[in-house]
Amino acid sequence: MNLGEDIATLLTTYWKEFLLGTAGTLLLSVVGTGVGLLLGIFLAMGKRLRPKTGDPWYAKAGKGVLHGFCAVYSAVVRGTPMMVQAILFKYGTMALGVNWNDILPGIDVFNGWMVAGLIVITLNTTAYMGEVVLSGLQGVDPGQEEGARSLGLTSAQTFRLVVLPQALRNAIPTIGNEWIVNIKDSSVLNVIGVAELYFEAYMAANTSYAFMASYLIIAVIYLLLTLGSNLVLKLIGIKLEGRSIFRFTHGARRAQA
Amino acid sequence: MSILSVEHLRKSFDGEMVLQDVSFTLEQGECLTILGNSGSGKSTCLRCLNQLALPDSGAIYFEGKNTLEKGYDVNYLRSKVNMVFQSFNLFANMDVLKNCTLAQRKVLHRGAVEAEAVARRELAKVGLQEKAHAFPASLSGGQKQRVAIARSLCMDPSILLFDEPTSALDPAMVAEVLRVMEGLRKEGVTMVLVTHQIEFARRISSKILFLHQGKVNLFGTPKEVFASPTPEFASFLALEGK
Repeated sequence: MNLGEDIATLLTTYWKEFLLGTAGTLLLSVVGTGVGLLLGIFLAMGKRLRPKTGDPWYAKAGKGVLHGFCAVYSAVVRGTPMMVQAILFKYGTMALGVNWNDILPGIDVFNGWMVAGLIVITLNTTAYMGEVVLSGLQGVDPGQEEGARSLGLTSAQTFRLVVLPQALRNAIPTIGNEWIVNIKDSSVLNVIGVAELYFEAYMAANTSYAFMASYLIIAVIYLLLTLGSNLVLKLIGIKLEGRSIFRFTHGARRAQA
Repeated sequence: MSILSVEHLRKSFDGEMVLQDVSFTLEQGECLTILGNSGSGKSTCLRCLNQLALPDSGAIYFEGKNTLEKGYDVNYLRSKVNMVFQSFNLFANMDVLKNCTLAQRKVLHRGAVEAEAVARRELAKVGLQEKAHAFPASLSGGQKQRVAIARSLCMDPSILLFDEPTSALDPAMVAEVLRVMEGLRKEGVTMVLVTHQIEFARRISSKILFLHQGKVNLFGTPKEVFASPTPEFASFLALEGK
C-alpha cells in the first residue's frame, strides 16, 4: 500500500475519530486559554501584591502569603513540562480516590479524562497568562492610575475600570499566541488518555498500522487549526485597531515631540 | 475659616528632605500659585494636598478636618480636591464623555442622565462639546488638557489643583488652556497652581508661595512678592528669564 491509499483508507474509516479529536483539541485550547486568562488575571494581581507601610500586621501577613503562593505557583508550573504535570495530576488525584473513568462515563470524547485534561491545561495556562497579564499591566502608564485615584475612585475601581482593560488590550497579541500554543501543546495530554487529536491518531495508527499516514493527517489538521486561528486573531486585531479606543498613546510625549 | 490650611508639612524621599516645615492657608475663591526651581518641592507639596503623596508629618485641614488623621476618607478628599496633571492622564480606554462621567457615577453616585448632562455642560465650558465621543488619542494636547479640566469640574470640586498644566504642551496650545483657567478664576473656582508661566501666575494669582529647598521662602500677594523679592526669589526670576 502506498501513502496516498493509506490516507484515503484512514479518512474513510476513521473520519469520525479524527473529527472528534479535532473537537477535543479545540475544546481544550479554547477552555484552557479562556479560563486560564481569567485565573491568570487573579494570579497577576497576586504577584503584584506588596505589603504597604501602614497596613495592619494581618494584612501584611495575608498579602505576603498570597504573593508567595502566586510566585511559587507561577515558577513551578512554568518550570515543568505539561506532560509531567498531567501524569502527576493523574496519579495524584487517583491516590486521593478520584476515579476519572466514573466521571461522565459512556461518552466517547468528552469523558472523565477530558475533564482531567481541561483542568490540567487550564492550570498550566493560568501560570503563563499570569505573566502575560502582568506585563500588560506594566505597560499601562502609571498616570492612568493617578488620574483615577485623584478623582476619588477606589483602588479596586481604578484597577477594574481603568487599568485592567488597558492591560488586556496591550496583551491581546500574546493572549492569541497562548491559544495557538495550546492547540499544539494539548497533544501531550494523550499521556493521560484525553481524547484529543494526537490520541485519536495514535489509536488509528495502532489499529491500522498506517503510522505515517495517521500522523500526517493530524499534522495537516493541526496546521489548519493554527493557520485558521491566526487568521481569526488577525481579523480581531484589525477590527480592534480600526477603533480609536484601541489606539493608546501617551499624550505628554506626543505633545512635546 | 480657611478652606485649606497646611501646617508644618514635612516630606522626604529615601531620606532626602523634600519639604521642610511648609505652612500656608488658602481661602475660598483664592488662586494660590506655588513657584520654585526644579527640585524645590513644589509638585510634591501640591501632591500632598490630595494625598497622591503622603506627607511624613504635619497637618492638612480641609473643611476644618485634618485629612492626615487616621480614618479620614481619602477618596472623599480626592473627590473634592481634584488634580489636573501635566500629562493629562485621561483614561485612554474611554471616550471623552465617559472620562467625564466615570467618577461622577462611581464616586458621587449620580445617575447616568445627570452625569451626562453635567459632563456636556462642563465640556461646553471648555469649548469641546463636539468632542464628546472622541477618544483621548485623537485629541491634541491642548484639547486633552481642557477635557481633563472639564473632567475635574464635573466633580464640583472645592479646590482644583493644577500640576504644571501647560508644561507638556506646544506653545501654540498653551494659550487655550490658560484661557480656560482664567475663565475658572473669574468664576471664583478655588485653585492651587504649580507652573512655570510666571507672568500668568502674577496676573491670575491672589497669593504666591515661593518654595526654596523645601522651605517657604516667600508668601504673599503677587504685588508683595514681586515688589520685595528675597535674593532667592530674585535669582529664580532671573533664571526663568523674567
